[in-house]
Amino acid sequence: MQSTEALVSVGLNHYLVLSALLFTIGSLGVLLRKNMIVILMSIELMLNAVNISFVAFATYLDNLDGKIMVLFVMTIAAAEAAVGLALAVNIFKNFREVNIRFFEHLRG
Amino acid sequence: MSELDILFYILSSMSVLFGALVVLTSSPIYSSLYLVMSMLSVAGIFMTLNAPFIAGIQIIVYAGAVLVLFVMVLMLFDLKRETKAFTKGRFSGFLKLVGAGLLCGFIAGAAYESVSLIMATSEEIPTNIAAAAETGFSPTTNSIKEISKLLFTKYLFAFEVLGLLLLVVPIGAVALSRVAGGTHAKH
Amino acid sequence: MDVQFNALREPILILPLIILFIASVIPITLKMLRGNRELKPFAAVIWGFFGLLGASGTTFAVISNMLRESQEPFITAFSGAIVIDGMGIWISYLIYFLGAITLLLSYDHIAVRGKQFSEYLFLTLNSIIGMVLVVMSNDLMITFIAIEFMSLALYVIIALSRERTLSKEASFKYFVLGSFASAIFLFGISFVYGSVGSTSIPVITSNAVDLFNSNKLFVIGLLMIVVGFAFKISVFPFHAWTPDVYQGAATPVTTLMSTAVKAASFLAFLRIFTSANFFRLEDLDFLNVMQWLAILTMTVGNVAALKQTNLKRMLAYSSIAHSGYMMVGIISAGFGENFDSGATGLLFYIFAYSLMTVGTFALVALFEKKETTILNIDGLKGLSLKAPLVALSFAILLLSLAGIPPTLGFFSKFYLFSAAMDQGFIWLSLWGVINSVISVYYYLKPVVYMYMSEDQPNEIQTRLVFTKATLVASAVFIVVFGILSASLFRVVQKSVITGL
Repeated sequence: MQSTEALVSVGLNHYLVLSALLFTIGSLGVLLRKNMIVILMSIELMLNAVNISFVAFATYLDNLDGKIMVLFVMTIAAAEAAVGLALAVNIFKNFREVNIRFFEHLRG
Repeated sequence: MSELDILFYILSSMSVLFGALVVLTSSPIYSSLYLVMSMLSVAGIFMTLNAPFIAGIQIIVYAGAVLVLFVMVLMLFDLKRETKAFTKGRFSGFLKLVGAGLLCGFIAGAAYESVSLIMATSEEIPTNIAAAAETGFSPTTNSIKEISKLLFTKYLFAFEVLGLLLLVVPIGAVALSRVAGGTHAKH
Repeated sequence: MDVQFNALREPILILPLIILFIASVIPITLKMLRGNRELKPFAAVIWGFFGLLGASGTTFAVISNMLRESQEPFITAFSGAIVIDGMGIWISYLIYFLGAITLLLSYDHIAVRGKQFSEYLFLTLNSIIGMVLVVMSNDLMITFIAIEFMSLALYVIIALSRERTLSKEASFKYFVLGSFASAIFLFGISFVYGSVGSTSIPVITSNAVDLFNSNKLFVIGLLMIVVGFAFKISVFPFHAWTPDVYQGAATPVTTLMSTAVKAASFLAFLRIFTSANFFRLEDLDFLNVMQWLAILTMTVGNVAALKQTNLKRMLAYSSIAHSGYMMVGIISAGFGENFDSGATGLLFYIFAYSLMTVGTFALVALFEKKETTILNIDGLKGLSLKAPLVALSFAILLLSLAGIPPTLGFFSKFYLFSAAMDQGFIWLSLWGVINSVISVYYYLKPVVYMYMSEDQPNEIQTRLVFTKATLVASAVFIVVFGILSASLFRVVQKSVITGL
């Protein structure tokens, strides 16, 4: 009964596990996918996971710092997305390809 | 098992499912749409965490601006379905999977061990979010008024630096985009 | 009257950055007012120099005085968001100086001096503002924001080169890996915040040892923060981006990246160890991991540099090896009982390393006639006959990088490793010395080629006056500072302990 109680009533660790799961999925996207835009989207997913972690801590510690940090992280994530997409557009205009397997010139 | 718990489980499985679909789908435009769904579920999670302002900002800024930008750029590229969407090496891919999974496991384990320590320092908040929602997170500490008070006094410097960042980034993006030829120019 | 002055006190502390920002905006505004016609490069660069001069002058005149008046080793401002102390002021002077050198090299370099020079200038100066903010930050939030600020401007600068293929690839690679590392860094900050309840660095470091022993989440958070920093300072195993990105970026940008970014990131990393007193940890795993990181970084950097034929890539691997040496400084500062001696050694080493690296990349820039020129080490053969002054300067710089007396490089390694040995890290210092000996081989190879080969070297652009002046001046200063190194060291020491 106690284990189902722990599973059923949602606490801080549930949010942290969710955050860790989303973060892992996002990092796998960055590591395994070859399309530039999908890599950028996976980075956004990772930052979302971190946001969940911050808000969960902020709520459970009754501390507003985490929520303010989330505002800052969202701003920076938006800025990063803008720069990343501008880079992708620039590369596409130059090479007509956004798959990174064509960009292995710098190896070796 | 209160309603809030059920809501959390539904929303979290949705966000994980859509997040996984973002990574696994081979068409980038489907990935972006799945990401929108994932972000909306995360906004719901923020609501269960009693942070309505953050949930609103998530929908407006993330799902409403950043992802629209993604979709716009994808439409500009007009990509066909990728035949080689994933990395080539089976072994290295497996290693990365294992590594990421290990990290997730470490964090989950550490979370379970340490949460009791963290909660011990803040006695008033019950560990169970449903009970907490009933006894009430004090409504004043979560309002926009409180957040903005902090933002303009204690965190003023970060706020101003971010303003500077938001000036620099568009200038950089425009400088990058001033390349001859459009995306459909004949090469 | 007093209240009025106090309200002004905090903006005055960031006056250097305000001046620098205004100076960065002026060229781009003038360009806009002229109907989007690019300014003459000299007119644009002069504004940048005014900005940097104004920033360093303000730091010297105003900020140091405020620090001295306050009778304390540091001042905090904006509710603990930033801190001004001796270490920070030193590194900010260094960053302004390195920014000025980068502007000089950019003015000469063909890949950068194009139709978007004003935008390039704007972004470079703002990246420098970001670096100084990293150095001044007292709160992990500000550190993250400032690192992102510095990096985002840098990603764009790398891609703005006229060179079509390698620069865009390098920029995207740096962007993806940098954002990945930033996300890990941020995740670590969230765990540390959850364990401590605040993101302020002094609060975290004062509780660090107790939390380390008790709270697993704090340990993981701290390790993830270390991973984030390790990426920025190219420490093993997060060094793999460095050769590719340094090679692909235009040489002036590489100069900025390899010196100023490293200096700022190392100082931010060092701040995490200030007053953390990690020597009180009973469990030595953290120390062992850091030591292994340092040793592997040095070794991998040196061994890989041995096999390189491209000069720029060899210099990139050599800078990875130097990151390893600087990690020794971090370890002796953070894990030794005396923080100040390790910190002084590290700051002195960062200064010496920056001076040497600037000169070497100036030499690479001298050979770049077109933006796609590739300089191999073979291209240096016989340089001593064609351009003796250039060859001599480069030889001095290489000897200094190898750590051969009486150059500044030798003294900086001497101070760094003796500080480490004083704190008891004998094994680590020994590895550092062994690696320095290994590195002599690849540093002396170009010297041998220059002086003892009869072939024809690649063509030098002797019109590039500023680049050549940078090369020769850095060599001269290496020798001069090498002779004066004891007094220089004492100046750094005083600033670390008491504030300038």
